[in-house]
Amino acid sequence: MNLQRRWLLGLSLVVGLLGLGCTQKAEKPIVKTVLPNGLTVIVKTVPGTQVSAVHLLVGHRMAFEKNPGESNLVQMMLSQGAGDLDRQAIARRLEELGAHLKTYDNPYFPFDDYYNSRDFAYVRLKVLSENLDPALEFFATLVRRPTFPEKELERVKARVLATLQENQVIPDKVARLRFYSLMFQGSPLAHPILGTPETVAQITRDDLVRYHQAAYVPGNCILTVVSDRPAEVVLQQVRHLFGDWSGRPQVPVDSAALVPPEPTTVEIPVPGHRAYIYMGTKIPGLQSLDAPALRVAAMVLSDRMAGELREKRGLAYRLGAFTRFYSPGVGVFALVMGTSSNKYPEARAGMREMLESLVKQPPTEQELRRVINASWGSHLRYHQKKINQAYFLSLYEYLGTGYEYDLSQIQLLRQVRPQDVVRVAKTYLKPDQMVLVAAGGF
Amino acid sequence: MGFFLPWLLLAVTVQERVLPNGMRVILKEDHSAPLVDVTVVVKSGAVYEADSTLGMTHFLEHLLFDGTETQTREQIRDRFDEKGIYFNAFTRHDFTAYLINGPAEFIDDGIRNQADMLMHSILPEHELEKERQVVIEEMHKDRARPSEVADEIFRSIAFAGSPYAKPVLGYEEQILRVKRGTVYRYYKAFYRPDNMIALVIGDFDPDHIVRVLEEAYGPSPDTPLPPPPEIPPFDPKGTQVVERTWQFPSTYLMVAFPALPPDDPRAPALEVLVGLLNSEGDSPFLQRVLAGDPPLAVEASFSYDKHLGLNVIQLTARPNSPRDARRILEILNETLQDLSWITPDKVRRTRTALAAEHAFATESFTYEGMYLAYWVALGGSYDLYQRFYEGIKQVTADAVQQAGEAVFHPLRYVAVIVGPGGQR
Repeated sequence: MNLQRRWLLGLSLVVGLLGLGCTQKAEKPIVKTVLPNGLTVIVKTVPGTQVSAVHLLVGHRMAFEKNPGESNLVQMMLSQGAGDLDRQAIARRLEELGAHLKTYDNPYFPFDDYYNSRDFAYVRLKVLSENLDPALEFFATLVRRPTFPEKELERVKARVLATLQENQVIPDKVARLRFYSLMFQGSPLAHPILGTPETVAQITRDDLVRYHQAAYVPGNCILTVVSDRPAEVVLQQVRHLFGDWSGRPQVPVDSAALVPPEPTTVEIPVPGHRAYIYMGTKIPGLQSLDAPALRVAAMVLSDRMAGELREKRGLAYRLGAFTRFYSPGVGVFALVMGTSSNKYPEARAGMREMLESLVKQPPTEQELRRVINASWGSHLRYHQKKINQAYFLSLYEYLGTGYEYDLSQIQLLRQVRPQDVVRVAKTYLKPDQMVLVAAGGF
Repeated sequence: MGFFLPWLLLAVTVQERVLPNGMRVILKEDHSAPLVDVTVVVKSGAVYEADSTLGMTHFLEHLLFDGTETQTREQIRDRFDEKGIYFNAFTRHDFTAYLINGPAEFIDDGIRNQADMLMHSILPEHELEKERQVVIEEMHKDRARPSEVADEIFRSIAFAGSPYAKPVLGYEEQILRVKRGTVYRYYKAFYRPDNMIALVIGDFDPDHIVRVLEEAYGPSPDTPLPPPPEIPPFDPKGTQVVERTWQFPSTYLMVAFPALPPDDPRAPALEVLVGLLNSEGDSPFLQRVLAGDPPLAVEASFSYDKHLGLNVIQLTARPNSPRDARRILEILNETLQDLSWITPDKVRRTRTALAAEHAFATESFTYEGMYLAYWVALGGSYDLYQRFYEGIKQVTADAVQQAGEAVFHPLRYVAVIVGPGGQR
């Protein structure tokens, strides 16, 4: 990021607090440092909080995979053995500390995949603030010294294989998998996060050890702590626990991630009466000057889809549009919709119609204000949880905008005008240039 | 100064009031963030429905977003969005909850908008047809997921004869048939301030919020409230195992045990026992089922579900096969018959874990509102809710064993195994 942009973000950090969020009572001090070994550390102090959070972001998760699914298995295995602790000892330690560890999404919890990314892996630890010190030490053991016990690996693989089997009959899972494989063809980002039944069956303990040694190195990680402690106190402990961590990441340049996908339509039969549609394309990364307008375009589109396709036409229960950004400097803009099989043609046409409406019926200033305010309301709600604060600070640091973006983004979004939305829609969101994947009982 | 100021703002106070219109209000002041959450619980859920009106409560929940005497659907939505107020609703067997969450400075208008939806909706005929389709879409979505289908099969068998046997969304045929007049009568019978509880959590002034609520909701009618639902007790005689086949490749095992109501003094100890059964470090059941040689299931967890007329401990597992499901039941019997594995050390750990879980869940006003909604809908107060969680911190190993004996001796349950084998 260039200096001018940094300065603008810094300024908007302050200005951003004066918008809808002007009710912030006091600025929370945030400190960022990079340790000599390359580990980026962000520390935020929230005085008085009962709950503290520790978050590790491990970059470029797929780039280190020999076989798709390795990254996910490493995540699942972090709690199965580390240092001299076995799985049960780890579980007991978590309970003793009043801590909750999350390293992967649970397929049995709806919407649990919100924080799951194909770009980076995470380790999220929530803990009662009174136990933060021992929890940080425990956290360091888990991420630095996992043991990957063979027996536990077989058990974990069986769980993944059962999930993969079940996912084969769930239309939204089938559609999403194919959509991203087409979107990122040739890039590691195309890997299925869970792997495939074939690749998972082949993965060995040695593969996980190799993966861990390559990916879990300080220069590839961002550690964020949000707690009631002064930043310097936390930093001192972090230096003590992570200062001697060594290793340099070797991440190959992922130029394939930047290649625009071939426009195509794929329909995958899945038994049943449901259909799920993904329609999307690539867009520039979050650092692009067009990113705020693209984000707002997705908000407008989501709002219009809900109002028209769901509320007026009753076509769907779940639908919307979103943007996702990735570290190679690229993003995805997509529309999704789950509908009944017999409404599939109408739903598909409706999605296209909504997309075209961005140009044909440009949004009004009022429409923009409404969707941006709604989005800011969500932002405030999400940020009540310390672990989410840690997550978002890490995310924006990773994506190259700097952690400050988490607070300054509202100002950037508010600067977007209707003509910006029309311009980015004309430039990037051409219906004929999109990848469309549908799965269901057609 | 700025650094220390937040310490002064963290004081949390709770009060309960009853407005002149009969609405109960629970006010929890928490000035740690400039947000307010208002969850309005309506004592109207699937258990209040007759056989002829199944799914009506949930259908109505959708319709209340569709227009009032003075606002269109779009105006309602825009008014919330303009102020950055999140709004949503959910229907359960025992109640329906409508929640808003937004910046403190705009919450008065949010409350007025929410009250307009709840008290002055007109259920426009043209919206009814569209909303039928949306609800049917929601049903289809659920029925594409094996876990949802398994739950529906399980309920229909385990709680047969009880309103808890039926899905909250109802059945497609009934949603297609239901007339506006029937829904409107149901709406007017249940949606009145004296049948509602408002939970307000966050950065607000209690006296001011109470005035806004009172004015926004207006008076209650003089007519009597609908009678409470009649719910036959869940009282299995001994152990009952039912097997079914379905179109999916996976196997599910679900087991329901009758449990204690939440106001029973032993309920906190029972919550700890469920926590122990779920403990990956300490549960002998999970150790044998998930980590035995070979493992019998890929997932297994217990929950203590508290409802108006149904309190159960439920096990949900994903065994490798129906045969493994039967073996899991044997292990379950062995684990619960002899509770001597419960030790003070294990109880201490589980207590800490549960206290932490509660602290994590209530970190966000929205989640705390949702948590509380369950308690107050069951007739509980904030005091009972607090006593329950405080009680957990005091539970001893003896108390856990005694609660376990009260619930599991003699062993009584209904177990349902659903596995591959063709069409349901």
